[in-house]
Amino acid sequence: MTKTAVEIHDLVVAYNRKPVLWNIDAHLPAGKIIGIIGPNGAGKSTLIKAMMGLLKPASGKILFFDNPLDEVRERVAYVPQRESVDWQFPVTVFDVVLMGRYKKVGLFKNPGKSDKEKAKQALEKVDMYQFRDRQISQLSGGQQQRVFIARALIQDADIYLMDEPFAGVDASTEKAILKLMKEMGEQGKTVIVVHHDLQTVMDFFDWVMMLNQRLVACGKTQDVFIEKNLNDTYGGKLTLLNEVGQILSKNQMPQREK
Amino acid sequence: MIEFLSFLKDPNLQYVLWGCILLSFSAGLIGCFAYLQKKALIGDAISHSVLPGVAIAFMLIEVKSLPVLLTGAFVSGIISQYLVVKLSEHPKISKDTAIGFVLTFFFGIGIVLLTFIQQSGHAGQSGLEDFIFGKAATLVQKDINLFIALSVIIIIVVLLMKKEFTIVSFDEDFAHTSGMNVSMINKVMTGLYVMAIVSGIQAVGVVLMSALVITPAAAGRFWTNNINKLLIISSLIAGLGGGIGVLISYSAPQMPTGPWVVVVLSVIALISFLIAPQTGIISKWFNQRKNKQKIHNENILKLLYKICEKRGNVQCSIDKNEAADRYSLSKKEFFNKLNRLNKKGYLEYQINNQIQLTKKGVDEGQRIVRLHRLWEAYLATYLNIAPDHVHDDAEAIEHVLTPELEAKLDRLLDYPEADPHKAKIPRKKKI
Amino acid sequence: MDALIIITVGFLVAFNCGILGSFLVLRKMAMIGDAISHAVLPGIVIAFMLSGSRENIFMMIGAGVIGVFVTIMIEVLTRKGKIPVDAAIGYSFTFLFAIGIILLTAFADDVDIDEQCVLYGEIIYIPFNVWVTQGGLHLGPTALWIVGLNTFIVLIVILSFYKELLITSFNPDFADSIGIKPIVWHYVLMGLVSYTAVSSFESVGAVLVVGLIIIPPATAYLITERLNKMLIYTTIIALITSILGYYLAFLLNVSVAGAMITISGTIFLLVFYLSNRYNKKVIMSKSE
Repeated sequence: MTKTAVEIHDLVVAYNRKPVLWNIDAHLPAGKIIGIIGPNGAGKSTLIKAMMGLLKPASGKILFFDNPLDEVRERVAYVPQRESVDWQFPVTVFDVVLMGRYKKVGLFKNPGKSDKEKAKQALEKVDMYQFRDRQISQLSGGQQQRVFIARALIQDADIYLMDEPFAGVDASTEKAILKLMKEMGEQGKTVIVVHHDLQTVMDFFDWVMMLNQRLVACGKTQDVFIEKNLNDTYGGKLTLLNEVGQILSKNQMPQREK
Repeated sequence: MIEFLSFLKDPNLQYVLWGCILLSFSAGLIGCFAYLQKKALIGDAISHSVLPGVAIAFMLIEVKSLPVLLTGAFVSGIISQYLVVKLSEHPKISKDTAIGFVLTFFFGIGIVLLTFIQQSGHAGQSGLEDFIFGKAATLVQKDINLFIALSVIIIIVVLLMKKEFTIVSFDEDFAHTSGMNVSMINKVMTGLYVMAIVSGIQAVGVVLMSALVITPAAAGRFWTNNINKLLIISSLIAGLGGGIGVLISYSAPQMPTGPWVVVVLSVIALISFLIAPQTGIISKWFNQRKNKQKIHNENILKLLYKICEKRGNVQCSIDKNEAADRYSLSKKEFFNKLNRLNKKGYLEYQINNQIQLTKKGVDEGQRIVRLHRLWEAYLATYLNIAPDHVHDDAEAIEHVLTPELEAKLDRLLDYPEADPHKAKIPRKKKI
Repeated sequence: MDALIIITVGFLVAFNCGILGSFLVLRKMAMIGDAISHAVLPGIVIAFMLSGSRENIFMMIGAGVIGVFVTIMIEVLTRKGKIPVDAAIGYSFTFLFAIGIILLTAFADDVDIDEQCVLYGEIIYIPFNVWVTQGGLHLGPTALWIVGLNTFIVLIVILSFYKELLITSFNPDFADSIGIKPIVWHYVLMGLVSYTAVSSFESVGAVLVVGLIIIPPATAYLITERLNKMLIYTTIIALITSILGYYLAFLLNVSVAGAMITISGTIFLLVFYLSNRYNKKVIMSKSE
């Protein structure tokens, strides 16, 4: 029996009282590469954001190694979507990677020698060290993604949550990220990835979570990545859920009592 | 009071009053589209930017001739708008920065020119400062005629092109694919927008004129979702604000008009934000209270129904203290709620603290229990949720399911007999 | 001597505004700066009525609170009222600014602030308003002390919390994920902007201060790709602006604040034009 890295318990996430994720309940095993798949608007990014505490759930809880996020924050690293930042921002590749250490450095202090050494190693791992002094808008999409991953690597975490790291990247970056993920898996790290390309699911992931407003299936890839579940996931939304959600939002009704 | 009314009889005041009401009315009208196109702040940039145009026009002719000054204002307003668009094309300049730049740069130049005119000692310059915060009382009939003409043009064009403006504001891409000349329509809208701002600068002033365009639409938006109604409400609010501003300007001559117009409009918007039905926060709060009440009523009926269900007789007598112990409220609150249910005819009191559901009460309690169990069945079947995880969700959803949704659920689940806990789903007996 | 004092105060005001403005521009919140600087007016007027002086430190804090209040008001209107953010900004600050002007004119006898001061400040009178201690010691112009204290605080905060301000500006979600709360740094920044708007009021007024918040940093941003250099260039532009602005105003006998904005705006347009030409050249030579 493998250890549980993340436990999601009856999670409901709502925007403006309309639930976008209904009663998600799942255990994600440690040391695995886990894909979260589902159609557009299924709530994949919402789930990751709720896990990282960026969205406040309407109900339910999320535990990392049996602890709430605040107690084990150093063990969890987050790679946001590439579109979430303004790449014109006046910082270099090296600056961005160093940000991964900002919390550990602490208030009133600047990153020191060891932090810079770590940033160097992380950049070498993603093969980006030669671009360290570039302003970040001068990178290709794949290179930008590698910078983001390097920033997460420098955090030395045990669980990595990545929001669409393969979106819009070139073939060589895809290969590099995949290789890195496999290595991390071998080191016992848990990598949770929001993913949209069904073709590669079998090759990339040990475990998948299939999502479409609700959890359709969650398990070993070979067990759950099957036609029936795919039909359930991609076969359209449950209209009844939407209607109920709309009423909740319109009548300002609570999603949970109390 | 009589004194106040007597000054209302002054024909010049009446003329100015109606002129300003019309002018504000037209600004509120075109303002709806600016609001819907999210161009509120661009309006602020335009209104600050007309200052150098006014100043340059004055320096050229050296007398205060309103048509010339307004032309100057219009030209610099259009230039500022063009510059905002041009600057924000640069990848490093966000729209926000572009607007902020144009606004202060033009206003700064305007201030330089204004202070230059002031110290150069032109005889006719005294009126220019009134353009900054507005002074409706300085308007004369000749000026008003000009503003009326501008307002009428704005109103006519908006009425003629309402359809086009609406589509372009709502969905530019669709307007484009359906063969409309979007850039032309946008130019017309911008032109009217600048015109509305320019026509307000003497009455309201350049610093605050953007509020006369935007605030009425923001206030109107709380009251309606219908564009036609929005146009009417917004222009009426604007007209009201403009009118009150003029009256204040006449009754307190040392006061600038603009701030009063803006405060009146802003208070109207604030009140709308608080009390508008559906969208206002007070009505939302009342709604939530009502919901809470409804949830309690339904939960109590459900509890009583379930107690009797267990005993095998749906209209059994229940000790009210015993029921209170099983409910999350304090005894006192619980009994209050029972009284309310009694008044509504859901339950009856009997001797010895016993209560009994009426026929109506049984039906309602049964309905909630049925919805609860139907929803549990739905979650278990369609969302693959384990039976021990469905209860909490059903506790909330049972209160929102409509009869239509209930029918749909029944159909989807093929009229199930029992929920995932094997509890029977109670239905009304077929006659 | 007076010229030197005016230029120094002008430079320090432009510096304070520009350094904070750099973060506002990068966060695409330039117009929030606009809103704050207008919104502090009623605070300044009320505080003046209560304390009878423009140089009271408590008055500055009180007036600054309104600046933070307006950002909360905008937030509430967009979130609870579903008003688009730009309309919420436009609504909030015109409302507060209008109240400020009304108070100003209604209590004109009690308040020594006139409409001109609101529009473009009174920097030329600054050298005459000297701080004299009870013992009769002359400590130089009061405004210099007020603005200088502002500079000192801005410098301390920026130097101490550079990395927190940087990360929450660049990628707030990521900052949050490692436990640096964006909301905290948002309000630190807003509080500083409000405080700076109040302490700059006497020199440049409530309207033109926005220009110093936006224009120098926006110019610096066009010519550099590093935040630290952006802050340095902003400082240099602030210096040029205050010197040239003063002499332009002196030459034409016009408002100093207006002239400073005119100069910095002209520099911006020049840089914009040159950087566009340069960019086009780079693209051309790349495509060849």
